[in-house]
Amino acid sequence: MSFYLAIIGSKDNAIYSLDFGTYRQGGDGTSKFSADVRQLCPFIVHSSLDIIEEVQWTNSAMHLKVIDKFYNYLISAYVTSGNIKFLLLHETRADEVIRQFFVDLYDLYVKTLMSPFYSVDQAITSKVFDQRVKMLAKKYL
Amino acid sequence: MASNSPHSSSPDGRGFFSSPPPPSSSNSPAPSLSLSFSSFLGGGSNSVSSGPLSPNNSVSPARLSTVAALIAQSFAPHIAVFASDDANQFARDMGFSSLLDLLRPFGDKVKGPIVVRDSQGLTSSLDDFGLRFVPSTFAAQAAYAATLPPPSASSGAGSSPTTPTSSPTKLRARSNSKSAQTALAQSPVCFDIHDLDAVLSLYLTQSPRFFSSSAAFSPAALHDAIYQRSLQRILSVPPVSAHETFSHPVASIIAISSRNPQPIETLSMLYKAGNDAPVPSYMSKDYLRYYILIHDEEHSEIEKSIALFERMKRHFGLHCHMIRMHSSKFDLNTPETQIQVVPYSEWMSAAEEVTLLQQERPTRYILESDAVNLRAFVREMTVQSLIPFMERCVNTWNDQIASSRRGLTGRFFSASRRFLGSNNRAAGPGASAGASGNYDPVTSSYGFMTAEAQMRKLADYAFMLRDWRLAQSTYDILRKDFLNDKAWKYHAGAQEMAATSLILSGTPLSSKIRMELLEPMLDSATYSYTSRCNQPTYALRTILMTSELLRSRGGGAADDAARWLMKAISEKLMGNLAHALIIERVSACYAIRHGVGSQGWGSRRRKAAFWQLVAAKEWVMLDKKPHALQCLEEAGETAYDALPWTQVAGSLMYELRENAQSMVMYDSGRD
Repeated sequence: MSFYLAIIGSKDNAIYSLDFGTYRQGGDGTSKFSADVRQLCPFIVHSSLDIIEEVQWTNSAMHLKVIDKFYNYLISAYVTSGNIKFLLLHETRADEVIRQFFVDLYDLYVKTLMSPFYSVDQAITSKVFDQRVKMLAKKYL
Repeated sequence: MASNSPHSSSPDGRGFFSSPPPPSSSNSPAPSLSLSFSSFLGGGSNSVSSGPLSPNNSVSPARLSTVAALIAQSFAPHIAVFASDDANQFARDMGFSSLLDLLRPFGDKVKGPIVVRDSQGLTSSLDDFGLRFVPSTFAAQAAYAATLPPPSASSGAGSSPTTPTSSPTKLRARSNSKSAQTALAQSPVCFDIHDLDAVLSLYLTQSPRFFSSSAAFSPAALHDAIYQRSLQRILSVPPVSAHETFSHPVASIIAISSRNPQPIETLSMLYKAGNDAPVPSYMSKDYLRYYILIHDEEHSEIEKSIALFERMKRHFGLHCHMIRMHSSKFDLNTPETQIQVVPYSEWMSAAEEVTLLQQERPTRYILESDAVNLRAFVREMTVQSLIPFMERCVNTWNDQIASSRRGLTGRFFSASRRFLGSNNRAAGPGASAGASGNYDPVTSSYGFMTAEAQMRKLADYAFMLRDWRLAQSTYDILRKDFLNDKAWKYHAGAQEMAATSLILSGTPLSSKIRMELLEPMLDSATYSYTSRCNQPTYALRTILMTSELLRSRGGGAADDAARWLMKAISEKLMGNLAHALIIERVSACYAIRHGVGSQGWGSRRRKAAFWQLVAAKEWVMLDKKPHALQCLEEAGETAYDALPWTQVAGSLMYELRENAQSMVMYDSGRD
């Protein structure tokens, strides 16, 4: 199973992206997307923003669950109180696990946000952040 | 909160989302993207794509009516033409291949308001009513088709019981193999996939020739026009089939010319030939006969013709007409004010159009006065004979058959029928076939005298007369009956038309109606067509027709339209070029939603851009670079130009653009 994670800023700008695979069922943590799909991933996720913007005003929860799909890929979304969107492209439905993943990711993101050298909507280039996200992925997905 | 001003993305955003290196060479025809997706579930997460509070964009009525009009026009009454040899010779003298060839263009649009009275007694006037003149031999063809398969796919105007041939959904994979074509010919297809692709390729390569008649023709409108045109091709010539009666003749024309030495005898003979022609058991011969006499202005005397016409009226009743015409061929040497170009019929099949475009057939002229006479004839036949005949049929069937099924007692009847049916099935394994007794599982059809067949005919007539509500309620009763009888093709057909007439009737399509009525109807219609009947082309027709109608409704319905098109794409119901064109249409479905307020809440501009991109990818693979560039340009304008990460080397957008541009340049260098 493969995943694609994107953090998108309040102005549609890309903050962070990562594609990874599961460690369960003998996976090695790398994504198994075909080249075609891998190229399309950012665009698929971007197109889901349309749906998020519609749903976020009718749903008070931060975790919007599965909001969109592209053939057999599902897209889950999490909107922070600062209107930063976390989007995850995945293949099977697992709302609860993904919620936990998003909550912990939010934790990581807020820690980054508190850094005096980071401002809102800026891209995250920190290696440590990258490492920690991968740890989270390994833990939950 | 969600301000999307496109110009303020941080410069550091560059580089993210950058994709890994692309596959070695994008030129090589990599397997189509959609081929890799195994399943696309049609229903399920509706709440996802169309929120309950989705803003309802109203679409201008003009737009709505163009699509609805196209669909309405495409289901026009069919009229078989039986012409005597001398009448055909007359048409040949005028430069046409037969009388049918001469009449056909005049059936495209009957002049003037046609007043139609619906089942409630309300009148409505139609400005775009049309007729389809079809060859008389098709009745014979259909009869033959019941016993032996038609020789080639393109001439498949017949019907035969569906035989389980090879897998229906893998058509694209082997679209070029000849064996696929012959396998397809076994059961009549709604239209020929290969012909459609052939005509599409002509449209795409020579588009300026066909579509740039108006100067201010934007390239975006071009693809829209191509799509509309191909939809028309799909709908134009439905084959004769048991499960729908649109292509069964509503009337027939029996024609002779004034040159005939034995006019009355010839007419009787033609009548008999039509009556005795072997037709399949599901086709009724109980249609209107209309007799015409073509008076030759140049070789016959008018007094004689008038006398003959009077005799005809005495013999055959009131459904007679005399047309006065000149039998010589005209060209540009005649003064221009007196002649008129006769266009080719708009409602030809894809195969016909391909031959027409490739052969450069000559322009045909006839005298202005002759054209006026012909138009008057078509109008008179429609207004005075055809429409009253159809109205009478609708009323009779409605009173005698359908009304007993509506109301309380009707419900009891159908309930007891169902009860008995299930009892029968429990009685023995063989009993399931004869659930109601009317359905013949051997030919998988109903005889034309059975209540079901007549109800279907009633619904189809009502549909052709555009009485959507009557049509819809009748299809609704029918689909339950067909389900009980396990008449799958009939069932699918009734579902398809019930959905179509529901949308056409103008009922407000709330998300509840769409979810609970339309969705299951379309779902089972497409499922029955593809899986149970091996008729993927009919499934494609269903999807294209309804999605186009849904799209014209805007709002959440447009989302549904896009989803249905995606289903068609994932099931690969069409040829390569049509595939790309339909992907592009998904984008158009999303683009029609504009959203409300300054934020454009509920708009789908990113979705539209995304599907343009997918379409561009497909066009590049099919080597149609100008079209790919066109899509990319639109995608860029809609969303991607403002995003730095799409412009970086390695991004799909960038790759495709480079690819398409380089190919265009290479091409222009070569010429």
